[in-house]
Amino acid sequence: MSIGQLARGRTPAPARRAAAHDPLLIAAALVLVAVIGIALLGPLRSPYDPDQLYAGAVSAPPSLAHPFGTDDLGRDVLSRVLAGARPSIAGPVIVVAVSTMLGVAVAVASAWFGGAVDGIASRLVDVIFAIPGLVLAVLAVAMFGKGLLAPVVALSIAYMPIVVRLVRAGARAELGRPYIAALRIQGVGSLAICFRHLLPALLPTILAQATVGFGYAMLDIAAISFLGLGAQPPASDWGVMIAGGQPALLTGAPEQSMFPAALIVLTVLAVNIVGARTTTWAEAKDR
Amino acid sequence: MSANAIRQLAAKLGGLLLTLLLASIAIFFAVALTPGDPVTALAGGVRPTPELIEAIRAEHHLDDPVWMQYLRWVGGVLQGDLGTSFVYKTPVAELIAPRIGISLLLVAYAVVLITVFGIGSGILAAVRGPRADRAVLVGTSIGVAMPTFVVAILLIWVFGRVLGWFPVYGTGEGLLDNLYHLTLPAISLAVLYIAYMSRITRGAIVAQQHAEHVDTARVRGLSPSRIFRRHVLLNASPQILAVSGATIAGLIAVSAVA
Amino acid sequence: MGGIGSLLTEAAARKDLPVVQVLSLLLVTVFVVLNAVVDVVIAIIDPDSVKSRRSA
Repeated sequence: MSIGQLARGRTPAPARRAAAHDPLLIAAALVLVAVIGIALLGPLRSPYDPDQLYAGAVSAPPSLAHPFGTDDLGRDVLSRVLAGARPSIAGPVIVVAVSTMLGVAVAVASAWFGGAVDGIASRLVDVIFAIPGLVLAVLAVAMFGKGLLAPVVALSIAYMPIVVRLVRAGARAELGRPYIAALRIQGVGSLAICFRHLLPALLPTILAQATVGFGYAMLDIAAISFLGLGAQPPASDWGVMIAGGQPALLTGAPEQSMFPAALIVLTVLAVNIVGARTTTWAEAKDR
Repeated sequence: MSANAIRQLAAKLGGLLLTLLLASIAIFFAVALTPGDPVTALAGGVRPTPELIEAIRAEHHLDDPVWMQYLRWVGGVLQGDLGTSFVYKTPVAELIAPRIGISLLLVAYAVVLITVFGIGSGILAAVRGPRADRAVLVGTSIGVAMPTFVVAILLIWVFGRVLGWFPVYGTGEGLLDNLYHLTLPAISLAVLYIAYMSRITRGAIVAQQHAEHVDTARVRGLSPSRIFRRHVLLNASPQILAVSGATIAGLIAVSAVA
Repeated sequence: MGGIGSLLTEAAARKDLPVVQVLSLLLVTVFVVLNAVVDVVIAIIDPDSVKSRRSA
């Protein structure tokens, strides 16, 4: 057994055992599995064509034929909610994936090299930190035009600083531990130390932050779409659906807005619960 | 103030100015490098003749190097010349001026709500036993999962449409009517931050309740309410203040979009 | 809402770049200055917390 294996030999078994007795976590996980399932399979299984107009039933309340009712143009809300899962989930997933990868790379580089690299990186992070995510997203839309691409790219950059700060702190602490020095003396290469020892040790922190970031990203992207700057009608993105349902809301037909809104809240709630548990686990593992 | 404090303040100010300088460069260059020719936008829908293009390029100094354009822009902004809108052809300052009052009022309204209900519910959760704690936890969990616009449409639905208590459109005339019209938007804006504030307040107070000096105060036989005010709340306040400041800053950014 | 928000979103949707530029700069300035003021106020009332806040 190498020193590195010893250092990260603590398995998360207690965490796993605790999770089995946590009904809230199980419920949250089930919601997430369901939403991801819908995102992957939804379009195949929806009862109607999400873009088909059913002229007989405009802004109809829920019925057997249309369980979530129909929208102001007579489209089936259930089918649109199902079809909207994919674009509504994909955006935040990309934001979290890109910002995490960039952030971890910058953080590990600045913790590893220190000095000038660290200085430049933290100045860069400070500047990005100074521009709020939504403002950067709107700026990107003004530059590249409406659609999901510009806000997703902008938020991927805007979410980077928080990852850098957290991971850099963790990486510095980890690099200061004796086993890293021992590995170096053994002649283990820098890249091997980074990928085999440093990153696995930081993984709980990274995962916890990624989960939390997903919730924020989902809220931000939905807001951008709601404002008409992201996904464009007639897309069935949840934010777009909520915005499209506003006139119907005021005439007394809330279904069109309420169902996608409920799904956003439910998804973010579930992700936040999982995120909070992951954070607790990451912190427990640090000790 | 000690020399050390002044030095720290100067360093802080320097860092602040440097960050602002770099951010302004980032914002300007991002836009300057935007795909699409600004001349098309400036010509305002007309297909520009070569002479018109020439005139527009000269008027807006588009043939200068980019860094010259940046200096001209920043110089203008610092002197109050915010440029001219492509769409309205009017000075940007004239577009902002009539709107800034309502935005500031909205933010102020939301800040009051956040401070009162965020800190209030945080204290409640910390001192009123496990049941209150649990109730606030559930409330704040839902609060942080609600996008501002979802809260907004829920409020519009319930208070605007079903109950008809609050107006749904417009901003009203006069301060009181303004506040009345801004009630639903201010609540929508505040909900997420009330949840944050509540959690931070609770955390800060709970941490203080277990601190050494609070135990000492208890041993000295001070009354619980005095201990709470003088020892727990006072010591928890920097953390609460830190978060409320950051919250208000974030709120302004969000209010600019939502 | 007839505030800065609607001006910014509308300007972004219509590619009214000068408006977007100035409003972004305005928001960033307010955001950064407020955060800095909070840092300074905290440093004054509670010098010990400065370190912990920086690493947070």
